[in-house]
Amino acid sequence: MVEKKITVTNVLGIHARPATLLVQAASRFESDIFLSKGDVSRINGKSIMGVMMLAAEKGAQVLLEAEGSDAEAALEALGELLASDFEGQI
Amino acid sequence: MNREPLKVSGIAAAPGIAIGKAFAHRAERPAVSLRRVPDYRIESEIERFHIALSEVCEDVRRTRQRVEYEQGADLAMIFDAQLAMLDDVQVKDGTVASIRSRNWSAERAFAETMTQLRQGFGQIENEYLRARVGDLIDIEQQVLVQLAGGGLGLQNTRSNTVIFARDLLPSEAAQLGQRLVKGLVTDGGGATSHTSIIARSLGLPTVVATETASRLVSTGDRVIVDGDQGTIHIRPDAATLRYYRSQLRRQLRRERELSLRSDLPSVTRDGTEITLLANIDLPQEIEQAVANGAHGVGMVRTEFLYVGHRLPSETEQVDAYARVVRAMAPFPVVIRTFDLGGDKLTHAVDSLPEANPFLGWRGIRICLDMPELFKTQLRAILRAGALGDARILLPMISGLDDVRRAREMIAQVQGDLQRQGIEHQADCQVGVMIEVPSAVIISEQLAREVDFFSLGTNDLVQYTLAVDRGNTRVSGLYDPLHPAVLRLIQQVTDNGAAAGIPTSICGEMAADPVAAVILMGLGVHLLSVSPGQMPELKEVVRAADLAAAREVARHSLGLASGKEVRVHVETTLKDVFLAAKPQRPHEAP
Repeated sequence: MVEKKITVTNVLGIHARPATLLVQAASRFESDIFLSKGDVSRINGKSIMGVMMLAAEKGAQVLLEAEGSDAEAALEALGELLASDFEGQI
Repeated sequence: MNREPLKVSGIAAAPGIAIGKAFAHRAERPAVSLRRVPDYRIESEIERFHIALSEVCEDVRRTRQRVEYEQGADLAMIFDAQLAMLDDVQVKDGTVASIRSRNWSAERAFAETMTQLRQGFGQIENEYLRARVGDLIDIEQQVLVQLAGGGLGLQNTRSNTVIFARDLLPSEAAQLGQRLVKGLVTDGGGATSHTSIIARSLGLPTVVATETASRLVSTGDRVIVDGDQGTIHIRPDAATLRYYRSQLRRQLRRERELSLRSDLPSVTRDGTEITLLANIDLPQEIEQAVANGAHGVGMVRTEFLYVGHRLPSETEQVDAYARVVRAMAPFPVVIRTFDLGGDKLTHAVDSLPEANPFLGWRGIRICLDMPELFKTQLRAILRAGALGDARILLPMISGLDDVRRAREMIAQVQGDLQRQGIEHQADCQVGVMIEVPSAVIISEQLAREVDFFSLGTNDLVQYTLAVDRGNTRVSGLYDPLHPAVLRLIQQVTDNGAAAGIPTSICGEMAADPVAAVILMGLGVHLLSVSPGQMPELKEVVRAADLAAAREVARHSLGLASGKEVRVHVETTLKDVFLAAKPQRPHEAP
């Protein structure tokens, strides 16, 4: 398992559209993806409900974990997406 | 729920009266069954849940496509979140687990899972995310409706049903052509939206733009749709019901009389033949067109072929066109090449959101930019033409250059078919839609390079008067009888006649008796309307006198407004309209 701490930079936080994009991206990997923030731990990164309920606002510290055959690649791609402002992807 | 009688007003979109029982499409949350699922049925219950989910996904995807077309890509993104929610592992796993371990019905297991998720959302501190609970409720509702019978749920309806919906896609409206459905009421839409056009062609009394009707009605309520006045009566009192029952009897008697007269020729009192043609949205409408005595098809709309998930093959198109051409032979069938915006063709082209789709990349403009797409359709039309007389109609022509380039492609396709030894129509006529004001202005030049004109008044009126008929704040300004529009039409028929080519009209305007008389007076002797509208139109033609029609048309050109034109024609030719359509004895309640 690999992990990485990321700070959310998007002004609106991970709202519906970024959450959709993140889940779409996570689902492309075979690895299990987990997100944690504060006292919310290890929600499923492939569930939009989970990601939205994480309610990660701008400046929030999010722990990203990946577990599986393509964990490294997943961590890199999703970490980059999370740290971006998502706008380029929308 | 209020049980008092209610009267709701909207826009009359398709004429006639329907009395029946309401079926509220997606207006209510179905009851959740508490039945226990026996062990041996668990797998099929799970399967039922998965099928419902994928049906709803399909539905949301179509809505997304439509919203993207009408409102732009930004708003359409909302539906991406809904699609992701429908595909969510928590939703799926939670529901499946409850079906399997607690023997719950799919409805109950799903509703319970969604309730838990909703509670979680309610606790989110971020206000924006908390508001997404609306999306959760929306998809929950849709899945439950789907599980309760699906889509329009027509399989559960009894006879004499009136459908109430917030809005209907044209494809959904097209499914309503079943005997069970007697009428249609929508909260949204307009008289010239595609859904209304299809309702008219199916002869379904329809009222649109009611804003609230689908929320005021409960499934099973007795309702009356008055598609002439644009009103709906929900749970009517006895007097109203009596009035409409007698109106309905008159209507049925009238239909019988008209059907007995379907063989009579379409000739004015002073002996001029007016050719009645049919507008066809879907190939199956051709049977009604033939039955109602159409002497040709004035316009086949081909968009239905292109709104699916992939492009239609040449063979599919040949089949669709051939059905119409064969049924109508030896009369001509005018096939309009597809008139869609790029955003409707996302499977074929890279489209960009447009600020003004009506002034954008659509119709012939796409065809000329995408020659392969266009040539496939042209080949199909020419091949179908071998079975009768097909003609090509080019939409959105704004200049001579459009015509020359299109004709060049038609010639290439003809050459290809010739070389390949494929049977086709070699002498296919080519005409243009007159719907952009610039085409009217250069109609003298256009007339020398095409075989016929077809007036597309729906768009011509919008472009000429700078009015978006879908915008309720200004739609009152949308007026086909505006003297400016009539003058343009005059110019087109004059230039056509001078060059010896005919002008037909395929716009909705032709079905209005007042407009029909003016059009005849302005020299339009080919009128194309929905098959269901042909019998009434023929009565107008047979009651009219061409010399008198010319006179009122000439006078109308000098009047101040469309309203004045209507009053002038109705009072001058009172006898024509009385003969064509007997008035109702009393005011409707």
